[in-house]
Amino acid sequence: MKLKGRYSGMLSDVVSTYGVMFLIMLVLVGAMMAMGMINQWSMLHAEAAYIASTMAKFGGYTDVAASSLSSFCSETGMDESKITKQVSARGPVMRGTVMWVRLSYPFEFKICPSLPGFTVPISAKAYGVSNYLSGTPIAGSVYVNP
Amino acid sequence: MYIAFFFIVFVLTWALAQGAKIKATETYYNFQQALDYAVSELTTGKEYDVRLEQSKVTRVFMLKFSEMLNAAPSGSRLTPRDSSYPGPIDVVSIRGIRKGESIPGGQAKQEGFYAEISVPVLRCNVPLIGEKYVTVPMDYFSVVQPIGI
Repeated sequence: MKLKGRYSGMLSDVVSTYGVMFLIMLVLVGAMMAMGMINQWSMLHAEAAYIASTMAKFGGYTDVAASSLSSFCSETGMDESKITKQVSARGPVMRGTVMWVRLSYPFEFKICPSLPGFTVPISAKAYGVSNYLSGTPIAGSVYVNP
Repeated sequence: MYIAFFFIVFVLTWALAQGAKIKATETYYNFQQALDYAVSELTTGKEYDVRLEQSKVTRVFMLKFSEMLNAAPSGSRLTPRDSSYPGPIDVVSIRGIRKGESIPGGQAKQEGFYAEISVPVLRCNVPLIGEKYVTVPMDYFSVVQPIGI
């Protein structure tokens, strides 16, 4: 962009300025949506870790985990029907068994609802070790299907 | 024009750092679970002394943590079998702490075990120096909470 004459480069300056601004805006919007995705991903990890800890305590996927997941969804605005839950075992499992839970969620990249977007699957896996002793009374928790 | 280039490089670096942070957080959750289990297994339903159980807690912790990470334990090092981590995870120390002894961040109000590990999250090839890892040191104090039988 070296100015040689009196008027040469003026138009290209104008075009490149807008082009650079457009590029910066594009990256900015993309980065903001990526930030939202990473936030949701971190939250999903924390929730998976919590569910894994309840699974470790009660020896399986109980209604404690299910109710914590539904309150998590209502607080964060995620759609619970879109979350796919996978667990290593429904329970109760033997003490000392390593168990895991995986939550997957399709994150939508969308600027506004009318424009078409695309989805990126995010998933979080967390482990726990069953600390359940058979015969221990578990107050108010029953094993449910995830 | 250069500002756009710097901007894009900044965003990419930030994304890489966020990915590493998520990996480290995930590892920390699993680390807590493995240590909590190891401590509760060795102290449930019997007489114990935190100093004498130290090696057993270390062994159970290594076993469960390596099963979680799909890694092969050897000595105080866990080498992942797949490419989930760029390098081996070091278990720096696991110490039995009695009530009133000092731990980083204060005094132990209850007996427990204090563990430190260092987890590699990023690998970079530095020219002329070689492979370098970005490692995250983690520590956790797991108090003894035996289950009554």
